[in-house]
Amino acid sequence: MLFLRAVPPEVIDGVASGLYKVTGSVVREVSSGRGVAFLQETSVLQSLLNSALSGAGATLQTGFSPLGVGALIQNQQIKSRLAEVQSSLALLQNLQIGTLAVSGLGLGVSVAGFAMMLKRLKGIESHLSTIEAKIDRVTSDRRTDDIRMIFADIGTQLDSVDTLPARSNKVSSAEAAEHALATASGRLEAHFQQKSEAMQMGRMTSADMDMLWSLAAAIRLCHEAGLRALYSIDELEAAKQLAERRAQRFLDLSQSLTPDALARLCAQSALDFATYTKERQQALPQAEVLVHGLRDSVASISSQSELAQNLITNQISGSAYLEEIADETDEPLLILPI
Amino acid sequence: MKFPAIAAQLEFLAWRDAQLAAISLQLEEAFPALLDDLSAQVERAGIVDLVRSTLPLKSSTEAIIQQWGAKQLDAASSRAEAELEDTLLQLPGGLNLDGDIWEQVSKALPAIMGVGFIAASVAAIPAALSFATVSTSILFFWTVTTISWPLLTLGAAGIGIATLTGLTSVKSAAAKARRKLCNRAHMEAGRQVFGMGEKPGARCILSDIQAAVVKAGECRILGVS
Repeated sequence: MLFLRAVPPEVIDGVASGLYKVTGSVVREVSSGRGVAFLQETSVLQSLLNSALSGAGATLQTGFSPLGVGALIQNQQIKSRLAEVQSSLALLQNLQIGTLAVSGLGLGVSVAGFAMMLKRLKGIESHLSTIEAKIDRVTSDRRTDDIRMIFADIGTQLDSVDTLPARSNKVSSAEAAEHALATASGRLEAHFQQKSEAMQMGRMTSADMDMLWSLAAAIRLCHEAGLRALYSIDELEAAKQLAERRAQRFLDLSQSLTPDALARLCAQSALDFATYTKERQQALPQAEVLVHGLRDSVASISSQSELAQNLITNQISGSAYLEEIADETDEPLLILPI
Repeated sequence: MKFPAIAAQLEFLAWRDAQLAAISLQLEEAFPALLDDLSAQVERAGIVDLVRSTLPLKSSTEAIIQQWGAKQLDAASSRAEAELEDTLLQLPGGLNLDGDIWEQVSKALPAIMGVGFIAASVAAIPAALSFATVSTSILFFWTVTTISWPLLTLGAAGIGIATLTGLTSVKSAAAKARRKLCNRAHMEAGRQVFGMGEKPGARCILSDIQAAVVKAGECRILGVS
C-alpha cells in the first residue's frame, strides 16, 4: 500500500481511552480537535457486515426496519460481533446499525460495487413500500409514485458509476452520472422537507419516521455514488466542494428535527398523562435513531470534504486512491495518516 | 462550510436536543407531585368552599400550577446553562474558533435553534433572553376566562340540594364533587403543562420552558464571540 495503512493499535487504544474520538471518518484528538487520521472502509468490511447482519436475523432486503425496536437491540449485538472479528472495528461503536445497513458506513469514499449499491437501493424501496401501506391508512399520503420514479433513475446512474473504469468516455459519463444523481437527490430532499414539515403540523406515527429515514438513506446513497464518480475522474476539488455543500444540506434537513419533538408528536393525541408518557417514551428511541443518524451523516459527509482536501494537498489522485482501496483484501478498515 | 463550523453546529444541536429531551423527562417525573398537590388542595376544601366559594379554589389551583411551572423553569434553566458551558469548552480547539468559522456558526445559529414544534413558544420569548433573566413572566398559562369549571358549579349545586335532604347525602355529594373536581384539576394540569387536548404546537408550560432554554442558549452562544 502506498498511502493507506492498517489501523495501528495506538489509534484503537486512543479511541478506547477517550484520547481520540471518531467524528465522521476522521479520528481526532479530543483536547485539540486536531485530525490524526482518516478512516477508510474496504470491501472486506462490507462482507463482514453482511455476515453479521445475516447472523442477527436481519436482511437488507426484506422488512429491515432501521428504526424498529428489533434493530435497536441488534445494533449493539452486531457491533459487538464485528469487534470480536476484527479489533479495529471497535472504532465503529458510535455508529448506528441503521446507517450501516441502508447507506453504507460513509467512512471515506464508498467502495461498494453496483450489486451492493443496487441491493441497498432495493432494500430502501422495499422498505418504503411497507411503510406506504401503513401511512396510506393514516394520512392518505400518495407521493411514493414519484419516489419510485426517482429510485428508477438512481438505479440507472448507479450502473453508470459502477462501469466507469471500463468506459472510454469516462469523464463525460462520470459527470453525467454525478449530475443525474444530484438531481435525484434534490428531488428526494424536497420530499423529505415536505414530509418533515407535514409531520410537525399534526399527529405522527413511527411509520412517518421510517419514511424520513428511508428518504435520507436514499439521498445519502446518491451522494456516495456521485462522490465516487468524481474520484474516478480525479475531480477532487469538485468532490471536496460537493461534500461541503451536501453536509450543509443534510444539516439543514435535520436541524428542525429533534427527538423530543418527534416523540411528543407521536403522543399528541393522548388525553391522559399515563397514555401520553407511555406513547412518548415508546417513540423516543426511534426518534433518537432517526435524528442521530441524520447528524452522523452530516459529520461523515463533512469529513469527506477534508479527505478530498488532504488528497489534493498530498497530490494523491482520486483514481489512485480508489485503486488502493480496491486492492485491499484483508483489512476491513484502513487509515490515511494526517 | 468548513468542518469546524459544521462540528460546532452539531455540538450545539446535540446540546439543544439533549435539553429538550431532559426538560420533557423532568416535567414528566415532576408531574405526579403536581397532581398530588392539586388533589390535596381539593381534599382540604371544606364543604362551604365547595358550595359557595368556587373562585378561591380555582385561583389556588392555578397558583399551584404556576408555582410548579416556575420551579421547573429554574431547574431546567440551571441544567441547560451548566451543560452549555461544558459544550462550549468541548468545542474543537475550545473557543478559539477563528472569525470566519465563528461568523458561519453565528449566521446559522437562529436556524439551528429554531424548532418547528415549539415555534409558537419561541415567538413569544423576548429576543434578548439570557439564563440570568429567565423568569416565570415568560411562561404562558391559560387564563381564568379560558378555563371552564362546569363540574365545580354542578358539584356545588348538587351539594346545595343535598343539604336539604340530610347529612349522609351531603357527605356523599361532597365526596362526589371532590372526585370530579380532582379529575377536572388533573385534566387542566395536563392541558397547561403538556398541551393535552390542544392542537400540536399550541403553547404549554413544557414548550415555553423549552423555548426559554433554547433562546437563552442562543444568546449565550452569540455572546461568546
